Amino acid sequence: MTDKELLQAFAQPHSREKAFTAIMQKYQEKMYWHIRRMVVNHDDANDVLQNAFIKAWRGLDNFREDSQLYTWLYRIATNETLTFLEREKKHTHGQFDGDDESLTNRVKAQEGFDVQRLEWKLQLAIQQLPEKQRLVFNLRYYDEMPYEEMSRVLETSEGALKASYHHAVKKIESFMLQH
Amino acid sequence: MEPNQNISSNEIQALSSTVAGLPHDMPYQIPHDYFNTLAQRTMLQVRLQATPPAYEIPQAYFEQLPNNVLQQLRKAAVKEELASISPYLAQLPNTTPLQVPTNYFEQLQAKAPELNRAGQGKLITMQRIRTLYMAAAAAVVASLVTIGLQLQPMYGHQQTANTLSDNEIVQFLDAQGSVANIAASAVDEYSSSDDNFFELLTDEELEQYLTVNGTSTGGSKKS
Repeated sequence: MTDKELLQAFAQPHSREKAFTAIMQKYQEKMYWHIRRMVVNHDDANDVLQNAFIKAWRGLDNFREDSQLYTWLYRIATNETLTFLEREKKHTHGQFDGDDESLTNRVKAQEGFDVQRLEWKLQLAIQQLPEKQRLVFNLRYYDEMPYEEMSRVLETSEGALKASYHHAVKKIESFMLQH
Repeated sequence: MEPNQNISSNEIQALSSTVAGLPHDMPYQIPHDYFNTLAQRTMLQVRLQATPPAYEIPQAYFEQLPNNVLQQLRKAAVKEELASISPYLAQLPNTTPLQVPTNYFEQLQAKAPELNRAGQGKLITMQRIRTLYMAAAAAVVASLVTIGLQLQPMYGHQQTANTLSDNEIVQFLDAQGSVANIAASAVDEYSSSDDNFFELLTDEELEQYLTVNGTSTGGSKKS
């Protein structure tokens, strides 16, 4: 079903739940990985993802279709992720900044971690980035999201996003060459 | 390759060939069957959060709860005490079988203002009674203190006198004057006090007193 058909089905009380289940099944993996790349732990990603979907359920009636459905869902997921990270920062007294070792430790604690493997080293490099820059890099590098769409998700100008992405790439390159 | 991927790939190649050559795979693992059940689990959460609470509680329930619990505990304690003293009595119902006329308490409350106005069963507040008791107690204490203060010098002197040697006493008396002078002054004191005493007596009582003491004033009172 297309997004439009799903939204029409969602508007009908008798097919509301079925339509939303279909929406979740369509976008759950993309949203999950978008969140997980930021929070690292599966359990935290699961919590954030479910919160994001519950928010989507409550707000879908007001979705004006001025953007793509998945852009709207990404925005919700991004906001929930940032809220989660902010909360974690307060609990751990600022240890969740991109510069700190806490996220790095989380990566190292993941099952199958192997610093010799490039994909693990890349994750370590990404966690060194500031929060917003990390988001930009992930959306562009992994999701290949156009800057126009990214500006709607992150509510930032395309120019700023391009600059941010360029800086992020350079930092990662530097990290990979040094380690 | 899709248009976005092409653009993205060229972009990163231009920025950094090192980064462009890195694998795109995410190394993180996820639980088996996670995505197959995610939608159902999420819908369950949605339904749970949308459902209003099944049970309602009476108004002010929690405010009254501590008091209610305390009352129950007190009742239970009294019951246990009675059971320990007399298991037989503890089994009996503790209701009073005496009857009260219908509407008795309502009528009593209605009558209370009338009773006050008529002066019957005039209410003397406990506060007033308490005040009277306190005033009486204060008067008694004041009297005792006064008497004690009056007696204190005599008692003190007596105590002091008991500890003094004979020489010390004689020296004290010499300092105060001759023994005769002291005796005379004592008599004077006694006499003046006697005058007051005599003023309270009738002529017959005075005559009798004088007869007993062996003196006579000729039946006249000294002023």
